[in-house]
Amino acid sequence: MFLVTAQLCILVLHEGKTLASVRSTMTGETVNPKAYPLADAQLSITILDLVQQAANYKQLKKGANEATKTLNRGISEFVVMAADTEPLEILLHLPLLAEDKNVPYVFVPSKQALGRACGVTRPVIACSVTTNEGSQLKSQIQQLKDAIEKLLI
Amino acid sequence: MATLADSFLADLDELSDNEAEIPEDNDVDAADMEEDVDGDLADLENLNYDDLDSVSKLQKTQRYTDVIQKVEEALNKKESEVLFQVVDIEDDPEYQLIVDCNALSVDIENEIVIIHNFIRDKYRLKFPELESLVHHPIDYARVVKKIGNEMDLTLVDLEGLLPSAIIMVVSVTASTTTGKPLPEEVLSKTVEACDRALDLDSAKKKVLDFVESRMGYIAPNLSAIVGSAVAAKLMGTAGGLASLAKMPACNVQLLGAKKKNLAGFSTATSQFRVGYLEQTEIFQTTPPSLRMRACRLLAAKSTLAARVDSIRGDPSGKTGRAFKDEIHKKIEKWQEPPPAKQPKPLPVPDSEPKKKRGGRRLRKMKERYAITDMRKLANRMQFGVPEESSLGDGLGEGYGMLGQAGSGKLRVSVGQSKLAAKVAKKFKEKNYGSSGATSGLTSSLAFTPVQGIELSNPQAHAHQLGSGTQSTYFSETGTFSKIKRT
Repeated sequence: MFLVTAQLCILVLHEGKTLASVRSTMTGETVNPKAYPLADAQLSITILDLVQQAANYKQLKKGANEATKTLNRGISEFVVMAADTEPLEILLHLPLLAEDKNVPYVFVPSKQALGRACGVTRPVIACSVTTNEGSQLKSQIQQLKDAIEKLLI
Repeated sequence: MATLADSFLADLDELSDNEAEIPEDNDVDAADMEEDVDGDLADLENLNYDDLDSVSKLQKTQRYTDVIQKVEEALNKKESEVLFQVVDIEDDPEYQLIVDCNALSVDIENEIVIIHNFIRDKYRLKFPELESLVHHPIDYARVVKKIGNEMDLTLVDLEGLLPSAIIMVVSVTASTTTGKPLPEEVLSKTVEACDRALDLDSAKKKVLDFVESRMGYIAPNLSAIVGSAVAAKLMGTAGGLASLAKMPACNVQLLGAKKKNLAGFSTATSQFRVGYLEQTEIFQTTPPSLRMRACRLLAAKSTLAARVDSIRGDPSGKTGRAFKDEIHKKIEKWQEPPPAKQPKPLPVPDSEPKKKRGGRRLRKMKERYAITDMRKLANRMQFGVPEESSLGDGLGEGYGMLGQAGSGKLRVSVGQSKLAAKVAKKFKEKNYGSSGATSGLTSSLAFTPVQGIELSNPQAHAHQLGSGTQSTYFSETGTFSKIKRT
């Protein structure tokens, strides 16, 4: 996450662009238009922080298959997917399932960063934060769900 | 069913045997028995008719007729006309037809099994050994139709229906069979059932051909990995391409797996069976020891390909071929032997210098544990002089130079030792002599640990005794007093 911040500072200092225009050029290459809604740099850092905390609290399911199972069982709070997946179609069934189950979903720019946040040495293309009553992360999860749903407006 | 039919036919045989024994003058009884025979035949006809129609209903349903008609119409279309232009593939009517075809093929398979059981029950009276020789239901139906009621099988040509070896076995078995010709009504019912089974089989082939021909358009990536036939079966079992895409990979692995009841037998010897993925070309060409891993890999990549197909991500099938190449590379990687072991060099020797040198403590320790003089003499030999031994004549333990000093004894005079001298000096400072008291209860002999028995002179300490009052009553040297009688 420090690299993302450093890259953001370099871009701002070098080209003098505003924060809104940095979003579309942050990754350096064109983002797949099917990866919607895509989180910006600030929200990505918040999402990855919460994903890491969920991993520590054992409230995280890593991988597209396990995320599919949590959606089918109805124990998912929100789903995070990586926008630089190749091909992206291998996880586009998750937004359909999430819409059916009324679960927020969001794309983050990097699968490598998502893998590091999950505590896995391999890249992770999808993960799901699960429900746990009485968890210390409940308020943070609720705030993040509200922020994700604002992206869809 | 079989038991009831057998009992009826056995009754018929008994009746035919009894007719020969009836005299000519009992016409009334013969008429009654003829009526009974007619009644049994009527019941048997009802039984056969009800059985065939009750067990085989699929061909009379409206759904079967509609699907078969649509399939024939679709197959007659030209290849260039079959192109899916709509974006949402689920709304296409031909897609729905394919889903119906998948469900129908499963029903046809079950129907053929039911008809096969019916044919087998009927034909068992004619040729009981045939069902153990011909196992496939369609082959069995063809053979039954060919043989019919013929008792001499050399007149029947089974060429083209069965392999030559099985034809020979069937012919030899037929010459010794215990079966009897079937009645005409039973034979006609059996042949009709065979015709139904053959019609269902051809209809099933038609349906599967249609589905496989369309699979390249509906699921190009999935067909590239597992083939059109298995892709059609996976889609049929899952209930459509969208449902297949929403499954986790571990569920796709089990699609089509049959639950076998082992009836108490151990599962250790049963063959490992997976679902439809077992029928793929990749799985069949994998060595048996790697098939479990290959099945999991196939399920994972097939699921990814199905997800790409469900949203029409890659109609050309390039992604599926890339997945297939990746699968082949991984399987080849598994079959490589492990790298050869390199000869291991010796470890680096411990080159640190010794930390211990000779000091006072070490010298004392060496002197304490040194070899005694007696052992040194016993270990030495003098040239030209034979040694003595404990048992004489060289037997037992040799004494070496021990006892050859001229004295003839094995005792060795002790040399002067610094350690021994110091110990002796310390012992002498202790006084083990008597305390000087000469009462009747003590002895003047004293024992010391150094010199053994030592005599002591009690008078040497007489001058040290106290004077005055102590010498009369409370003196240590006082003895008994003699008091005279008054």
